[in-house]
Amino acid sequence: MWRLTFTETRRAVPWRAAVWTPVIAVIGLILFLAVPALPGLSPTTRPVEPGERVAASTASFAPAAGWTLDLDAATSARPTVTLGSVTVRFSDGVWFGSSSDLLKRMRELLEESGASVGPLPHAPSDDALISLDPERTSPETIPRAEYLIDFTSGDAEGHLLVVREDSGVALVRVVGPAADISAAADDIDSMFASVDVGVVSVDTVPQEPR
Amino acid sequence: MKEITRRSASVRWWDPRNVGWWLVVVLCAVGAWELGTSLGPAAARYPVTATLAVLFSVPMFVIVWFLVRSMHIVTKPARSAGITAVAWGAAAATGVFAIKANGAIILLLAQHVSLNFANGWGAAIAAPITEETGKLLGIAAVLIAARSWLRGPVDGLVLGALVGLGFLLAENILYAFNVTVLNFGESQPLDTVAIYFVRTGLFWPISHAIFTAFAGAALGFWWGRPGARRPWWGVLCIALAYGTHFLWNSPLLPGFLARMGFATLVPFVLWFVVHRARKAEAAWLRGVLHGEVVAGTIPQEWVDGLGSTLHARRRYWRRVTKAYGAQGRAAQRGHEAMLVDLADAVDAGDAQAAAILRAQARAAHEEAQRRAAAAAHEAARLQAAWDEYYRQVDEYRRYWAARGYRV
Repeated sequence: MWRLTFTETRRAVPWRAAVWTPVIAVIGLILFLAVPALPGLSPTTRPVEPGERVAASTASFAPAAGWTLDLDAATSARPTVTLGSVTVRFSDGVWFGSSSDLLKRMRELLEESGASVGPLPHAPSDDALISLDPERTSPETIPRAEYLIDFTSGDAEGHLLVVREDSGVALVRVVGPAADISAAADDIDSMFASVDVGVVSVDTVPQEPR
Repeated sequence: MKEITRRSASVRWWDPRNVGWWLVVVLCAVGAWELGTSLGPAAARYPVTATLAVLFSVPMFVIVWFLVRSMHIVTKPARSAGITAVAWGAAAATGVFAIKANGAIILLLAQHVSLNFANGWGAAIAAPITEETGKLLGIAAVLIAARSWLRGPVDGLVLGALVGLGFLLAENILYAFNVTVLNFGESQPLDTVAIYFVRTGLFWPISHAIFTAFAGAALGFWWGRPGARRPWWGVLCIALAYGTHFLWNSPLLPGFLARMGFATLVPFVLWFVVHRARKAEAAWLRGVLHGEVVAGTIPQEWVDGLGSTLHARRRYWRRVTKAYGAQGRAAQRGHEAMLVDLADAVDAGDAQAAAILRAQARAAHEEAQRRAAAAAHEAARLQAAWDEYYRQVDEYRRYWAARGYRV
């Protein structure tokens, strides 16, 4: 007769399949299905508090107070805030090549996501921190520089602020209807101005006001 | 590598009547699917990173596998158990237990404590809970799939290290993609080489293989054979497994030097745990096999040869290799496997297996005695031949000396 067995003899006592199988299955179900569902029971967004700074991996920015902060994105190192139909997404990374190549890469990434990108701003092409060309001398530091790339994505208008300082790069991507973006221009400008590319450790991040 | 023992934790590749086998197969399949859907888009976007990460995983698997399995221990799970453990670590522990729950726990902390706390402490709180638990349960899953059990902490330590190895391989691939994304895909080969250098070179002691080895040893200290149990060592080992992972992920270790210092300590702690596990294992073997020595089934020297420390075992093996070469080593492996199996069967009250193994041990003992007697006889014969040769040489000398010649 075909039947599943919890085969063990008396000598396997601490290792009974009849005990361990349900334990493993239940814990697996809890961690695979139940725990991931728990955040959905409470709001996963909240309003940005005045003066609050939010960090990505190492860079941080101050989202405008009153905008809605997506906590899921913020805990995944890509904080996102929204106001109506305008979305501002912050992220960061590192880049060792020239600033000109960085902007070209940004254009590629935007185009991969279906956006049409306008002309790129001018950026130095000789400021790579690492170069394979022995004739070329690499700068030891790169002062902070900001570049704004405009793009359109469907009916929406978009702006990508690229802030570079040494090898650190911070990106602020704004997407939304043109009228709404214009209406929120002050907030967006203040967010652009608040970007800090520097390393942010837990010790230096200001405590979030509750 | 020839298996030291043939019985313990041998998983059949097709065993559909065993619910434990189904548990492993289903959870590994679900985990692999989850992992594939998580990493698939990144692999499609960054194929060089994907290829290099997989390529780098091969030598890492081979090195850790052989390091773990070449330890001078007498109890050792079957190869099939090792492969199942690696598969569980790479697929089930990551895909089912860790990926989704980690993000959810960190998000819960952001919702109910604060965003900064979640970003600072989330990984330290979530990862030990989900990852260590998933890997720990993997040891139990492999054992029930094999319809087997832990004989002692060394069994658990070895299985745990292999579950951790699987997890580590999958996590390294994930990290390679993370770094490539963080670098906007500027240089996929450099990013991948850099992350593998940092994770598997610079900070190699901070390894899931070591964390889970601690956890596996804990299971063996708690639920190994009664003679090998040391509950308080189990508590210490489980605290080490979760604590080391927590501390590494937490912001309590600020800066590179603090992290390097912590990473340097871990191998010493591991050595200490292996030493205690080996002592517990040896105590169990000596205790159980003492009865067999008294009954005359095996000689005391065989039990002594199993050693109580890794150092003693290495010394013993060097002597065996020096005296008998590679063939001697192979024979010794089989011989020790038989002794461990005998101890396990006797301790488990498995009269049938014990009787078969006793018969094998007696036959081996008798064969050894017969060979020793034959060798002694041969040695005596050779000695007699040499004595006769020297007597004749002596006589020859005296004969010529008597005639005035110097010889």
